[in-house]
Amino acid sequence: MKNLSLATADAWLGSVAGQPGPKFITGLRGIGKSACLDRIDRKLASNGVPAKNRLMIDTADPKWRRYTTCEQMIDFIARTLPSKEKSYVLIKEAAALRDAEVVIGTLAASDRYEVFATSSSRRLLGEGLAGYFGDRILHLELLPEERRAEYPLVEARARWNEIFLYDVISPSSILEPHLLHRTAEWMSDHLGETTSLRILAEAVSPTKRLLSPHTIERYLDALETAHLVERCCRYYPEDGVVSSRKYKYFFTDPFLRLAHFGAAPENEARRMALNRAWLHLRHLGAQVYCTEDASELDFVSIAAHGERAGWRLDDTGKLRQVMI
Amino acid sequence: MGRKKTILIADGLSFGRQILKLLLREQYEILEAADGDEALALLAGRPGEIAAVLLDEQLPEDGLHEVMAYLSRNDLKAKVPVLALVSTNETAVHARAYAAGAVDVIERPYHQGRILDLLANHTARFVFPTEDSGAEARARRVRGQNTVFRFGGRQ
Repeated sequence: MKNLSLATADAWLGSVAGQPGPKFITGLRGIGKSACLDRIDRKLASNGVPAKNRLMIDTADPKWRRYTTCEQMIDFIARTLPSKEKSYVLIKEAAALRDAEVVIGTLAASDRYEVFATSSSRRLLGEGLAGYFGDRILHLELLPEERRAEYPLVEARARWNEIFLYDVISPSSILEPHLLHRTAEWMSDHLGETTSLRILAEAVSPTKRLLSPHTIERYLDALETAHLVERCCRYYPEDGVVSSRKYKYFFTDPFLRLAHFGAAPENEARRMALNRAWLHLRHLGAQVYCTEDASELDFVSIAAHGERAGWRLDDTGKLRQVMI
Repeated sequence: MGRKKTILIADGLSFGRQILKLLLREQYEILEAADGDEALALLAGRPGEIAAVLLDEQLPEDGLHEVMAYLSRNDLKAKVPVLALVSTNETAVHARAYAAGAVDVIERPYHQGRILDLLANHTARFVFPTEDSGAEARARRVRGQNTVFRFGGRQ
């Protein structure tokens, strides 16, 4: 199977190498971020960067746990890499590092280092680092290939469980993971519908206790932080306005959703087609918005240079561009 | 290596302070403040010891102006240069920092070489307090004579 991620990584490396600022590769666990980072490492080697000027930090390796403060980590890196030559620091799952923002910010401030990091948590690029680096973060977001349904169901279920356990529950300090799971299940059943926190709370709440919309928001945030789902805000084409209060969620990997939750009770074909269409538009690199439920459009995409396009999913499941 | 000069870093964001601390720790002694009050307390408690202040332009509760006002009142503006930390290259923000009394502006994300150059220039004339002046300052502190400022505004 052709691996789009690696080709994307090659093109991306070509465009960002040598530019100031740290380079981040983010995406769902198992999407191929580490493979991309390995690829970048090999590319650097083939471009003549010697091994002494490249340091791969794989946070899953227990040897890195001995560095319990950011000072220790920085000191180790400074000692390991040559002091007067440019070097490359490649960090796998940077969010697992203690004070990752400080380590990355400090390394990126020095001309000595060029930093590449992967993360399956959106939180790494949350307020702190995003505010600090502004538009100088170079970011590659890996999305699943649309034909990924070729891998076995059993593997997809295991992948979902792994993500849910390590990337959703574990970092979010949520005490009732079964409710979090029910939230994801509800989202799967209502895929492509405008999300109402109140209705969701009522549907998910245990028999004798009503969850607050705030709690539900935390659950949604945990799912989104782990790249399992993504919010698609509503756009009003007539006014050119985006609403941050009206939104739908789509699953980042529709096949993982299907493998774990099975088909929705109603309109499964339409829901899945909408999710695939959303993913397809995200692959095009534009901002993707949904529209009002009764609208003739299903999505509006806005490219980086501001060009808008309307999209409608027809009855045969084909995505067609519509003038707006 | 000779005696290190002391720099005060006043930034509301903990990770911003930590980054600066790691970038400057080999060359300078570092003091940290998370808001204007902490910065003022350190300036008042260590008279003559602080060679420069790196101050977040958006320090909580208008800390930038509080610190500048304190330095003016105590005739320290020329002795303790303030470098403003800003998150943008917008001219208006830089102009605001200069207007408040900053001698220079440091943009985020930081560049270690530039910060070290700026600090070397702006602290070149710094004179370390002598043993006597240090003892005198400590005695003043004990006697409570250092409270020439009041948090929250001019006396």
